[in-house]
Amino acid sequence: MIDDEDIVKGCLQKDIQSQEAFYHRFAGKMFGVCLRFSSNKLDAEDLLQEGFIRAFGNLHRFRFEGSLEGWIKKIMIHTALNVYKKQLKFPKEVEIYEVMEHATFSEDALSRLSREDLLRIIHCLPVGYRTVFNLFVIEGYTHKEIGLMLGISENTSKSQLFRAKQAIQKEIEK
Amino acid sequence: MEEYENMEKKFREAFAGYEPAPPEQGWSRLRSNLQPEPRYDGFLSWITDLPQSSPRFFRLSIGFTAAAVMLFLVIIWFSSGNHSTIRGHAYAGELRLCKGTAYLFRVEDKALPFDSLKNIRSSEIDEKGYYQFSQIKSGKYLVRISPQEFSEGYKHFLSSWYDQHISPDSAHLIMIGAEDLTVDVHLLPKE
Repeated sequence: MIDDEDIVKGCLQKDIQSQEAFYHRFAGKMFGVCLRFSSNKLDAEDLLQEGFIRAFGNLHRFRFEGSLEGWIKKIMIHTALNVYKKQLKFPKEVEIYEVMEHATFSEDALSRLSREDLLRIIHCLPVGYRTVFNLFVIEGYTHKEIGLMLGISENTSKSQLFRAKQAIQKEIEK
Repeated sequence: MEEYENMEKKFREAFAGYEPAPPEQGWSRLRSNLQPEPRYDGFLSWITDLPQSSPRFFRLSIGFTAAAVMLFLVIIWFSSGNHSTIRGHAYAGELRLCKGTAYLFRVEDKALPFDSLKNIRSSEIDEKGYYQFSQIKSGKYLVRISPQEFSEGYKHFLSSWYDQHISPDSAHLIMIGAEDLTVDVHLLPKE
């Protein structure tokens, strides 16, 4: 199996076999990321294409200081944020206490859900909720980092997350 | 808030290492984006698309130049093989004509008298009375010599057609194929 360094070197020399190896090594996982950030499969496919094009175009910046998979994942996420930037409309000032409500739903219903069900629920979320939920819950970014990435305040990020969870709760209880 | 924590955990676990099958046409689509079909820029595109610093470009440049030179030489060789030279001296009496002009006419009519004569070339006669027409295609020709006005030859001799004829109708027809010909012209005296 060719290691990441050889693949990157080949890709930098525009070697088509290396580019194909690069794609096949990361396409599955990155498609998973794209599916979560988009609202349907077709958009996710477009996102994957766009992300890989950006990855190949910026590969000379990769310094082997972290994992290649982590690097390309960041590219995919930033590509998604860039694509959905126009749709992301957040309220300027949202106080967190406004959205603090009781969360009660059936634990049983949650446990019965498959990954496909969860993905369908994510797809149903408004783009702002979905983006913040993905970044915080699954990617593990802090609200401060999300605020910087999306150009919003920490509180707005928190409230978007809370509203996302509420929306998910409603979907689960349907 | 414990329910939400469970929810987060559920999502986190569900998508940890999530690796769905990528789109079927994903790679072919990406490949066409990365390396679009070469556009046709004429027959030189196969060389001009190469990076100019590449050894392949250098080798192709050398090869292309050599081929062009060879082609040029072949053209020259073939063209010279199908053409001839008419050369000779112009005489004014016993002496060679020092100043004058030789005219070459191509005869396109099949029979006399000539309806049309086409002057295709002229050549200055040098001080030794020599003239030359090179790269002449095969065919029928007439040569006419005119002494330069107010020269010594002009005083005593007429412009004449080869060989010593006053008009083209009576001139000697020069048939030329692939060989070179020597055509000496004697001018007619005025008296």
